[in-house]
Amino acid sequence: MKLIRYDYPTWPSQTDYNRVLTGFPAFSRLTNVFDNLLGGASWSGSPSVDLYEDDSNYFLKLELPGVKKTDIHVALENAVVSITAKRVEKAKDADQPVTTEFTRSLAVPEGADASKIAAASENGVLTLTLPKQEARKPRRIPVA
Amino acid sequence: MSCECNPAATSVATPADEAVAPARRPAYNVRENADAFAVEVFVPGVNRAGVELAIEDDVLAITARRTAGTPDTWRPLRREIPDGDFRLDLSLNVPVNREAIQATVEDGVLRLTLPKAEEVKARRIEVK
Repeated sequence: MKLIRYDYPTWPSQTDYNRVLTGFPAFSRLTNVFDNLLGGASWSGSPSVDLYEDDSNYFLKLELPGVKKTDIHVALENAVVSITAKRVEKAKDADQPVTTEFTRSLAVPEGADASKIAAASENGVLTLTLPKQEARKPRRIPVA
Repeated sequence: MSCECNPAATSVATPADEAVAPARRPAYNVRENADAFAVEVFVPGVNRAGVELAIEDDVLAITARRTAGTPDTWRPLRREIPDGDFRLDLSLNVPVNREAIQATVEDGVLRLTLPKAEEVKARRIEVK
């Protein structure tokens, strides 16, 4: 229905890289095909994640647009963080809700304290904070 | 595209402009009902203040700027999310009532309602 013109450089679609490099299910842009939403549909995708650290914590950021906080589930086991989330859209005049599922796992360096994960979601970006165990924090050792 | 990070190599720069990451095109959905088109544009990390909408000729230009990135104390270990803002141009090839376009932003989703111009709304014609 809509034509899109590019007059400016755009970042290459991350789905192409996902398909080639990581083997995770690619988040397909098939939603373009459903301009007229005739019925319920369900898509799943693998969101991109950033991993950071500072001296006391590891941080993960994921982009989950349109996902409510209550629909996000986070688990940490064996140094792997797994995030599953879903976005349910019930358009006013569509008969069935459209569900989009996101799932992503990422290996976190050893030493994250699983019992103290904190999660915050703002503007569709989920930020997880995993405190490091005491032994992992960098320490200065004075030379006597 | 992801990287195990070396501080020097986290973004791709165009030759002309080394400091600013290129804009990326967001995913979006379009639905049509009897009175209007409903557009959802997925722009995570963007709040109300970051969205600019402009219409020129027949193109609705959407620019969405993300709120500030990460604190300086954070050291990147893995980066997959591209830097840069979002940019989407939609060509309005169906008549739209431009004065009545509405937009809201919630949870990183920009929802636009583009009411159809009167002359293209479906009309019932009575048979006498």
